[in-house]
Amino acid sequence: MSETLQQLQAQLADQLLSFGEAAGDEVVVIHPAALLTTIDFLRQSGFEFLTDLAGVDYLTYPSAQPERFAVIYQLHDLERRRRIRLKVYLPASAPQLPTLADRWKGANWLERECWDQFGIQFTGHPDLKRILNHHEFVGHPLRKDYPIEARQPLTENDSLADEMARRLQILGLLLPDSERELLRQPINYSKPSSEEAERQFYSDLHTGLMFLNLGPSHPAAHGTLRTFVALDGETIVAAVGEIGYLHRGFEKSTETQCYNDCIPYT
Amino acid sequence: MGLETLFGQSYLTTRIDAVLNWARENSLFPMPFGTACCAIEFMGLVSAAFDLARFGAEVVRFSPRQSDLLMVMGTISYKQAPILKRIHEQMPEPKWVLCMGVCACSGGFYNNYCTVQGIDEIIPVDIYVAGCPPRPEGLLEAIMRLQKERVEKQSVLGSAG
Repeated sequence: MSETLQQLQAQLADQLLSFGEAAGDEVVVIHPAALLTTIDFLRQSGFEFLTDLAGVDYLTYPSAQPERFAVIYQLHDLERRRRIRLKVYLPASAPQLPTLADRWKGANWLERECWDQFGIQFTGHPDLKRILNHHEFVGHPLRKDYPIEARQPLTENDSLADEMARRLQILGLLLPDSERELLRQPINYSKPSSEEAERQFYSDLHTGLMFLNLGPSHPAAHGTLRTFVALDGETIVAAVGEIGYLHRGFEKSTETQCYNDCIPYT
Repeated sequence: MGLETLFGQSYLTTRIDAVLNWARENSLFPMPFGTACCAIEFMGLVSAAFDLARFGAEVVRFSPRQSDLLMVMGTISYKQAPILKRIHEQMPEPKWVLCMGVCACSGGFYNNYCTVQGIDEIIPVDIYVAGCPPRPEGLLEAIMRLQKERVEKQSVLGSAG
């Protein structure tokens, strides 16, 4: 057992459920209530990078497990080249964990994926919504009791307007009153002599922001990334990224195929 | 209102189909809707080795409003489907749809909760190209057949045949 783990054990004795090793990494199973304490301790010990966060559904697992769901955190110490894996079991009745989005920005989208696919709640998450599946989707497809062929057509694309409005508000760009004020100013058609005068001269050309979708089918995107942008002339002032347009449910499909059916597609 | 109204069932109106279709057939403007790996094969098709220019369809338009051949290349998910439908609706008539690869034709391997089981669930398709991905030769044949079987039979009045 490494020194870090010994310290962790000393600190959290009763919350630490088990130690082990799998695929060359140390695995620690902890109680859900101890997640934040453990994470903070490990971050201070050098595990500063959250490599991945993944959900597991043990509903049809051959051997008995303490609970139906689990969330696995993969941490990396970049300086000393160590890895550690944290595992938290969650009951089927209320699969819920505190968010790590305030500690790692990257946890934001990872937790959204875990919510989308497994239905695990992350309390305190800034915007826990679907990421791979569309916004009209009902249910959580990677749960073992979600039938693989239960297709859910989408009627209308997500406008992404909510997220754009939030972003513009942060930038202080949602000021319709002052914009109208600018348009009401008298226009001076003499040659502008200063920057301020130039701004005034062209104020009648100020027509506010224009919204445009780049993608999800755009040759420059080379794939299926959608970027919803707010344009001021030719300048992008705000952009919202959206993925999932090429989410093909590969994980679910591989559950129903044998190895040599899947390998050509990987 | 077509030319028939002006000229009646005369020689001129019957031949104008042939002239227009000759022009359309040899100047197809593809709109590449490439979502996945099939789009890579399309790059081979339009580059020097297979040279789609020989068949008059090399001017790729990234605006649906300027194209008449929609080439759907790659997996279409339900999240993507409304966008594909909208792009098809934005294209002016007459228009044709080429469906490339097993994913776009039938969903293929991805027989699951998020993949459209063939784009003909959403838009009409003129020609299907099998393969995962199809060879550029396969695409060339599809385009030539499209020219002979669909474009050539287009009527100036709008409906094919």
